[in-house]
Amino acid sequence: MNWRRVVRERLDRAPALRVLGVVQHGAGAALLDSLAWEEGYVTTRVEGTAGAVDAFHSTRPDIVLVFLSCATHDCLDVVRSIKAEPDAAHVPVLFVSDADDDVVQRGVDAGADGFLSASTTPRRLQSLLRGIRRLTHATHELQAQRIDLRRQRNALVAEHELARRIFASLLGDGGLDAPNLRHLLQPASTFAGDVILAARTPFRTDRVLVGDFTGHGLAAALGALPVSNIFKAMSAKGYDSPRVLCEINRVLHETLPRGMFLAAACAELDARTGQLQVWNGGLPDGLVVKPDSGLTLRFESRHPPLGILSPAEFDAVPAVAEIERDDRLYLYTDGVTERQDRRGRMFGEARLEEVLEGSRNEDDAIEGVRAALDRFAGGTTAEDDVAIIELRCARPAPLRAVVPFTEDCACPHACQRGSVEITVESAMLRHIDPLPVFMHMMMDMPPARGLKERLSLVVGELVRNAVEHGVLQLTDTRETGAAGFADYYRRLDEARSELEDGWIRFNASLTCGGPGGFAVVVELSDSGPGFDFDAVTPSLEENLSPHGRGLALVREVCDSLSHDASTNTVRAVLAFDPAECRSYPGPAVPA
Amino acid sequence: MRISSGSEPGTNRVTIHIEGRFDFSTHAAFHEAYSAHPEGTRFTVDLSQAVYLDSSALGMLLLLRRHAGDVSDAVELSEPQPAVRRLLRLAKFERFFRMAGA
Repeated sequence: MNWRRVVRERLDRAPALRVLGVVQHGAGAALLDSLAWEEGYVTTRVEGTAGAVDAFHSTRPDIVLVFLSCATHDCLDVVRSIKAEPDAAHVPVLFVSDADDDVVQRGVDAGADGFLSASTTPRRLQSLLRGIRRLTHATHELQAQRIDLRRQRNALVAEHELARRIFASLLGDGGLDAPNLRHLLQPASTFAGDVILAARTPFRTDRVLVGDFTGHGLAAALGALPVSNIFKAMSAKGYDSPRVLCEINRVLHETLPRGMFLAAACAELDARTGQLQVWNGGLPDGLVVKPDSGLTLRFESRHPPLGILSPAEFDAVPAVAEIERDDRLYLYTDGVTERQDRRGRMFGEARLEEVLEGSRNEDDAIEGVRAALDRFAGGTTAEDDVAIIELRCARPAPLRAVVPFTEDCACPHACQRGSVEITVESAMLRHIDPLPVFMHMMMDMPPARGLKERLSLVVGELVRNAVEHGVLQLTDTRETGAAGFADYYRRLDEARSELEDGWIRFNASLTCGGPGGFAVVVELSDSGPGFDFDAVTPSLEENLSPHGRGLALVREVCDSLSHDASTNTVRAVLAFDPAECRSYPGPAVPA
Repeated sequence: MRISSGSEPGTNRVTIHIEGRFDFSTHAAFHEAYSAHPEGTRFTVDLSQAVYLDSSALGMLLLLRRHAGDVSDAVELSEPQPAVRRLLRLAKFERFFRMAGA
């Protein structure tokens, strides 16, 4: 920008230069009068030093001319008083009087900006003022711009802070306060492009996700919102990790600009069985550290980051391993290993692994990592976000009691019982698969948790039976082969999306099942007109038909399966010993 | 869920890989994977990456068996994970399919 031209143009439109003259005994009056006749000046005259400061306030001059000998103390005090005013820093104060070098020095010490000879001609004064006028306007412009910039910056800082708080509450830190989790998340700017998420699923497994968006700051942080929402909502409903990853990948693939993606690792741990599943797409190796033998397992990246592949290409199958009580899993972003010291060297994997192994018997290894990073970085600014989480294989936390276990059983074994029931109406049936909801409720009945595999088969098939044959009354064409099979599922989709009336009711109760044992009773009722129960439960032995296998399978894993035609209810009873009920019972499965 | 297929060199078997959940939502992709091959083709279904099967998935396997000639060694079910293997045994599928790695 050509500032000279800008200033000149503004000057043409600029208001007059306000001049305050401090005179005494007529000295300087002639010079002031000469200005008053010229265009572009507004002059004010004040007699003597007494009224000078007041006049400065009332006239707010652009320049002050003092026509007094500045040898007097009065005079220096006036200069000091004016210059002490907050607004006066940029207002030049000039003496128009003859003075020797000492006086000039004292005047300048007091705050004066310059001296003119008492013999200055009107023309020379005007020339000088024109120059000053130019400077004054430039100064005003700069001041105005500075005020404007400061206001904009304050607004920006306030907006950033507000956005940061909104982000923090949207992302939340729910789940990260579990006693077997520790984490460290250090953003390089106001917003973190790294994410750490954790959830306890209805099946009482611990699930964590650590991610690193391309870049950092606000743009990267925006992507964290849908990821967090999907992760939390689907985990709470009981969807498994592969489904959650597929959905996150799909949403990121559809919404992120090309070139932006989420390197991430997702782990799920069932502390009761020690089964650990890790999916790693683009993060450094996930590490398992044992309290006695140290680093024993690595989960390297086997997939591209989330958001790159289309849903059809995406592969959510995790690596699986078994770990033991008190083993610890670490997932982290490359901000940890690429943290630099003063000389630009990186922290590196070897140092990190050394710290983790070294603190394998410490209570808080993450604190050890934080301290080691701080020591290594030596006060340098982080270039990238730093994120690391520790998931410890610990005895599962006590359960949140959703089902009241207050009713005492009447049997002599002093066991307890409870039940849950939910009815799903047509409006919901049109849109959601009720299976995860039912499973969620079942898994809140502690003794039923060990029955997950059998229950998901039983509830899954009973729900499909109640919806497809009960409520929707679909005639089965699957027997006729592939075309009939496809046709059946097309009609199912149609009928389901157009469903106006109808409901299914799910009831699960936990009752006494003999000494030390339990029985889970699952009942599925529906609003339909009823169906031929025996016709839909054929034998499995010689059944080569592509349909009609669901209820027969249910019968295999249940202790009893019955149908009450009067209430349209199918009832399955599963007895089990809570000590050993991870999968199907022995007798039903040939060894 | 992901389904892919390919022929093994040196054999006349077509392998179909199933990954993730195998349920009614996958019938179109599964049908597409085998219907391109002529009737009577032998198939191997690689279940090593399948995490869940429901009864409609069992139905789809039987449709594949029909397509492959309706005999017990026409279709091989390969390396199912323990939970899937238990379900296949429950359904008596070892009578209808060749089981490998199970």
